[in-house]
Amino acid sequence: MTLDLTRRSLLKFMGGAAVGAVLSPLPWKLLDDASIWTQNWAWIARPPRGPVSWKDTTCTLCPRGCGLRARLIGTSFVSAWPQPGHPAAAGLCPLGLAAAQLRYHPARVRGVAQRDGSRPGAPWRVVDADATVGDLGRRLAQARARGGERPAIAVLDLRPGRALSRQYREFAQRQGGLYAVAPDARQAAAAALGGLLAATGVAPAPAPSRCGALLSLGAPVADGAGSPCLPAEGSRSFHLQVDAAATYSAARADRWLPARPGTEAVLVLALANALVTESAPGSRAAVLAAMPAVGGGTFADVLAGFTPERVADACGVPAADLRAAARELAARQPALVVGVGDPDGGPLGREEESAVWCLNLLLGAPGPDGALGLRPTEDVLFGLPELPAPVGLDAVPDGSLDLLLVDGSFPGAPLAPALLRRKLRGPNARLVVLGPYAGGAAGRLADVVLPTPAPGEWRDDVPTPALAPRSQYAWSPAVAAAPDWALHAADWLVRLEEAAGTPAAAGTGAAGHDAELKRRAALLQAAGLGDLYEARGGNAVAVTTLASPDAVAGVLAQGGIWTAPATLTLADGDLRLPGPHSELAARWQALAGGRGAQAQATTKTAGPLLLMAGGGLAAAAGNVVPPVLNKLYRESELVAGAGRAALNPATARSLHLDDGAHAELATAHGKRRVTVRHDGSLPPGVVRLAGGPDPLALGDPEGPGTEVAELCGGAGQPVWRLTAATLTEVHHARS
Amino acid sequence: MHAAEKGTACYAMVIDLDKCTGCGACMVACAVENNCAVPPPEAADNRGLTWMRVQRTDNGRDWPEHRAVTVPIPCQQCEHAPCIHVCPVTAVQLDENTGIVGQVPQRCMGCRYCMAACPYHARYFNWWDPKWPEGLEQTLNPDVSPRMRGVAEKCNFCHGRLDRAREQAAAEGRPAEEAVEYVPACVEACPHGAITFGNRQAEGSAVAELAKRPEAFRLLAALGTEPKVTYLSRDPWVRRVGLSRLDMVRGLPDAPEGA
Repeated sequence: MTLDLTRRSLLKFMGGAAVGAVLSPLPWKLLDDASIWTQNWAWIARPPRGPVSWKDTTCTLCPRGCGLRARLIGTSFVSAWPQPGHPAAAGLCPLGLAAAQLRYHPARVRGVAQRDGSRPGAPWRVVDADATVGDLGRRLAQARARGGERPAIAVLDLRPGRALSRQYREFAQRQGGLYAVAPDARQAAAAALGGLLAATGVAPAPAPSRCGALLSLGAPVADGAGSPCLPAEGSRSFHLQVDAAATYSAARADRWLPARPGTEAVLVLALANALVTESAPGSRAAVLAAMPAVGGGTFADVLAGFTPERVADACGVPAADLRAAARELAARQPALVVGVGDPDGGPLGREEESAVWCLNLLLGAPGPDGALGLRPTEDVLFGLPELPAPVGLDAVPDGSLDLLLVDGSFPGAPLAPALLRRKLRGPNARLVVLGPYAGGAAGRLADVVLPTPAPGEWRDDVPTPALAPRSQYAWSPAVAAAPDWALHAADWLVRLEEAAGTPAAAGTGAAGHDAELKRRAALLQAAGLGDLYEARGGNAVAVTTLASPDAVAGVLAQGGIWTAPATLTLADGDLRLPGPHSELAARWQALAGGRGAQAQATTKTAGPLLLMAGGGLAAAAGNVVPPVLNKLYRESELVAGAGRAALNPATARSLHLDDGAHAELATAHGKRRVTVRHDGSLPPGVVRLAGGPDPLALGDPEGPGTEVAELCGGAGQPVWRLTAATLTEVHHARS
Repeated sequence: MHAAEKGTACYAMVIDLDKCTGCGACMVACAVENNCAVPPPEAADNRGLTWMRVQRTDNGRDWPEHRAVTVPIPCQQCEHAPCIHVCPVTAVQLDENTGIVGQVPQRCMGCRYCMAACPYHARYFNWWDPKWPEGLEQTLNPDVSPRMRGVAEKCNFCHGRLDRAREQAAAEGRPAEEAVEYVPACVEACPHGAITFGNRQAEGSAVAELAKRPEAFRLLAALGTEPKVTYLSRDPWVRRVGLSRLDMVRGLPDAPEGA
């Protein structure tokens, strides 16, 4: 046999080689390798590498103070996870779980940034820090000189009660300015109790775990990432929910009262009326209502005008149901009433919250044995020196400020940016944000951003959140290094004062902030009250077992938290219930038809809708949102965001608005384009718009979703959750 | 190293819809753990990567009889997974040692047959290369490979965490064939304890006990996919919807006009 090199033999060889190659591993290895090579391009992100470690700290993205366990890869803060067993919260909300991404948010400035804030959408420029601080210092000096009876400087603290807050207050005092706050729904609810007490320095500590019946006025007790009263522990109480919409909390309640929006105040007063008139003469409710009240007369005289029969039409709830609810509260003691409403819609209203506290006082004496505890405020707890009391931002006169400094912390709820600019006096005034971002409610219309460390990059402290059931205090130790251009907010204050010709005072700057943190730890140790929860071991130790202030500081520096029960008490003589001639009673009378009716009566358009703000993730509404929250807002529509207007289907059909239609939502305060969503949980005639980011513009650093508060009138009034609106279809391809 | 015997463990999940409040913590935790990128702004709403997707569905009635429920829907890890049968390149495999249906991105060629076959719409496609804002790659989890465009992906019960648990067990000298306990990201993140996870073959397994409750049901059970995710709900209308209607698993947001 010879090996002839012919065409046939060559073809046979090639065919045999091909068959043989297929039967060998070679082509499959090449296929696998090609897959690997083509899926490892240079532009595909590489995760960080390094040793894995964990650090415990406290989340500061809302006032609640949940425990956070940071996972670090080398020095990179990669992810945030809940601390199991943490006393403040059962877990982390979506915002907290995405906290690691905030260090790299597109809206983060990389130096002192400046623009013309009076022109929304004007570009930001990183400018020379010294020159800008010098300019602001000159303005500060001029404003201080111009001040006097009418301060021209204000510092807006979006998270009062902290160690940094003391520095803001002292700064404002030295500069002859105002220290302003903008309470969210929970803080406003807590503050309303103060108007009914003769005593000061006392804050409410409602304890759902101790109540036999819980009445919620729209507060999402069973919704979302937790109730406004913090985790409900222990046995479940009888739950009554007052909600205009068929919310998740309403569906889970033992009894749902579908009251018309804005009728919460009169509904609560009707419950109080039923409670007083049906209770025995010697009962607490009857005795309290018969006591002399503010302005003369008695509280019972006020309640006489709010019988269930009289308010039933306004509320849309039958009188019999109101009386039955009052009987439930009376029978299942101790009972607790919570106002707040939907936190995403801003404060419920002073009148509503005052009515809530009045009913709470009728239901039982506040104290450690009932469902409504009392605790000392931060000013009392930490022995703060006499500083001017904070003023509400809405009380600052419009057009009065030459310089408004805004703390860039995450507020607990939406804030109307236009409200900030209204306080400025003319185009030469300056709105300056001390924060990491050129966006969100505070940064969106700012003129200058003085960059501070992002959440997780500096040691802040977390005082007791409003309506917490106990006193608590924690630090949020840093888990990552801050960049060079980010200065501690207290250091920016020092630089501004130096530029204004004021030498740095003692106790200022980052060092002063640190000293204040340690002073607070020392006070807690000296008081010997409560327990310290150690984050790493998950153990709680009594403060009395810790011999030195450094030991307390050590636990806090490792992400621990101090807690103490709310044990303050009040005598009935300390209560100041309103009488029939009081200003509060007059405001209640003015609301006899409900806020919704008031809002709709002010518009000239026939048949308007009632716009109800809310339904979103309140904590994400006031500041920038990590990119991954797109999963909730846009890739799934689980959470409503600005730009999606929810409408009752029957109402939508009457307006010829299909699901998904593009429309223009107009109020007396402005208009915006929205996408209509049919939502059967809403009552007829109501359109709901959430205060969160716009899902279609989530990556936009300006965060146009903050317009919702302005659209609802948040720039002009403290209660903006209800306003009249029209909804008209717009015909075009895309909004 | 992982020479576990066949059928050593069968990981399963039970989700209590009566406890789920729709907070979305599980969705965000899953995306953070598994490096799920955010689609570009021009993407239609239904082109996201939500390995764990919380779907809101209702009883079809209007106010005041309207009732809604939020249903977390991960990959159901079906015992008879349709996606395994249709994949032409064996990029989808059922691991008999864990019961987890794994997705191998390197083998996937992007035909999306698996997405068409999945009755739960629990599979997602990388239509674009993931783009991370500058610096955000520093927050990626090194235990999970980032994917590129053109491959399908889905929940895998946090296989990266399973691997970490196995490594920890090996470091502790435990036998390789012993089943390990671990917790997926969604379970760890849920603030209400609505999600229970574990090896249903383990003695005293919580998931096994919960799955036997009278209010337990599995989505589209009549299809015979034998999912390993069981749901609990005391509301009969929720169970009816979950057993028979696609409403529970559809409802992806409408694409904008022209998408």
